Amino acid sequence: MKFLNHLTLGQYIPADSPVHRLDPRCKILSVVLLLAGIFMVKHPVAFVAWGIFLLFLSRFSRIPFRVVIQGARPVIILVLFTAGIHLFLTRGVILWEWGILSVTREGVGMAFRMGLRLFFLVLFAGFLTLTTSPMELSDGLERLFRPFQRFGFPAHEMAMMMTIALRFIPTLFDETDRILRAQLARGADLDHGGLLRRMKAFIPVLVPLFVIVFQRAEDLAQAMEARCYRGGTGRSRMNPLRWKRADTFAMAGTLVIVAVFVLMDLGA
Amino acid sequence: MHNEDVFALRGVSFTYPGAITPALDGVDLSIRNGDWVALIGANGSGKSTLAKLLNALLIPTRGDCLVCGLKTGNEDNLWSIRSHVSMVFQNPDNQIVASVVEEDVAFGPENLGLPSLEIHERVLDCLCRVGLEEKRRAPTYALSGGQKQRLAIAGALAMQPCCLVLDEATAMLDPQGREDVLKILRNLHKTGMTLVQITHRLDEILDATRVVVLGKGRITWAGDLAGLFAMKDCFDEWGLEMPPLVRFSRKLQERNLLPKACLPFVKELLENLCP
Repeated sequence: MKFLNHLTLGQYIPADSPVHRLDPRCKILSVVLLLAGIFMVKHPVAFVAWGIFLLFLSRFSRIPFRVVIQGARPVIILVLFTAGIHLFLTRGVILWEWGILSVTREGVGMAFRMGLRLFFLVLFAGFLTLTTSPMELSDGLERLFRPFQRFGFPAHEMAMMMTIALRFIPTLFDETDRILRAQLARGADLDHGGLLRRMKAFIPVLVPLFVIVFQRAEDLAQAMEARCYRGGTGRSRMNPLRWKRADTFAMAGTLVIVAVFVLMDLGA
Repeated sequence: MHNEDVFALRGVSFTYPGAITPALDGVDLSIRNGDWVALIGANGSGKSTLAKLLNALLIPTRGDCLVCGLKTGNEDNLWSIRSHVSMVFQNPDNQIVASVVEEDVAFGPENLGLPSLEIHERVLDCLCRVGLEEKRRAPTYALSGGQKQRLAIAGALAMQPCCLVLDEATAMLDPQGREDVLKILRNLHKTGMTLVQITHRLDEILDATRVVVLGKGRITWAGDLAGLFAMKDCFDEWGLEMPPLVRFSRKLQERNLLPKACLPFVKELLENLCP
């Protein structure tokens, strides 16, 4: 469970950078654009370009690249699994075959592309949470989803739920770590045996974790009520969202970058 | 009810849904403006239930609970009561909503719908009062336990309440964190704020102006500190432990080394020992 020590998923790292100062709506829309762009490119050169852009973004936002990469650690297995599925299940010119398993030329390309796309997706999405506090993110999402409120979409509630989920990610991982250590100290064997045995061994970890989560949820709800929370009605903001010129430039810049990378890919 | 009463409880009982015995049974209590009331008692004595009744998080199943003259049973009064009375809970991790210190302090004033400028002023003022102004932009997960509890107090103060209810707010803190919180409470009391401090540690209530002992959902004793520490053979029954200095001074008294009972303050003890 070493990954718990390096988890940056959902964490916000305060810094005084141009990226931090951008309006959260601009950052959310830019990330959506970037993700769309990543899924449109195929050529390795384009992926290299995305990598360089990521490095640039890390410098520009004053978030150490090491921290950005750490955010992708928990999903490495998912990336490898996705790549593996594409590697073995894509039809085409067979390069290697063993029983029912076969690796095709097209499969190798697809595994490479999908693995990298997923990896970049996590990293760019990570940038959003690393440079935007959950409250800002929540405000941004609420404003973006506000038009859908007229169709009954609970924009404020969704945004607040996300804020709280992000706020509690480090707390709950700490809690999981603590329970794991407690169970290991009492002789629990979580690292040996088959998949089923390992899953069974995790029950004593999951049960207290769920109990704690529900207790925390109850306590938090009371603490929020005690501070006069009653949903989005009548709420004001300490830092009301204001779309600035820098946000327009950032959006335009993102559009240009995505267009250039996609065109570069088409050209290659 | 006296005009200066912040809280007035008349025959208040509360039974949790599904429970047979009431958590609170016929409690009568008045707390005046500017009081520092220590609510003490063993686990399960009803302290936390009483705290939640004072903030209208729970509504009495019998009797009336009035906060600043407003009846908690009336749903229209809830938000007014909660803006008058702020609460700090035991586990700071379970009351911090935001991921950044200043955003968490701003949560309450934002709920009150205050203008941005006023929220900024309140946030800065409250962070200064708890000594966290330098951590203003820090992530909340990076704070120590004591700092988190001070942040929770700042969040409560940002509502500009007339009373602060602290439900075992120091229980999860180390000695330094506990002392920091108590220092803040002393300063708040000096400014005239009413404090209701719930604890089972008697060494933390030495600044209280009144003490109320709860046992099995009833008030078993009420009075001042001198009266509390003059009580004999009651502490075991109440499930409370006397502070070491009180025990020490009692031993001295038994051996006729101390002329009279004294409060558990080192200075007072020394004055009595070496007049």
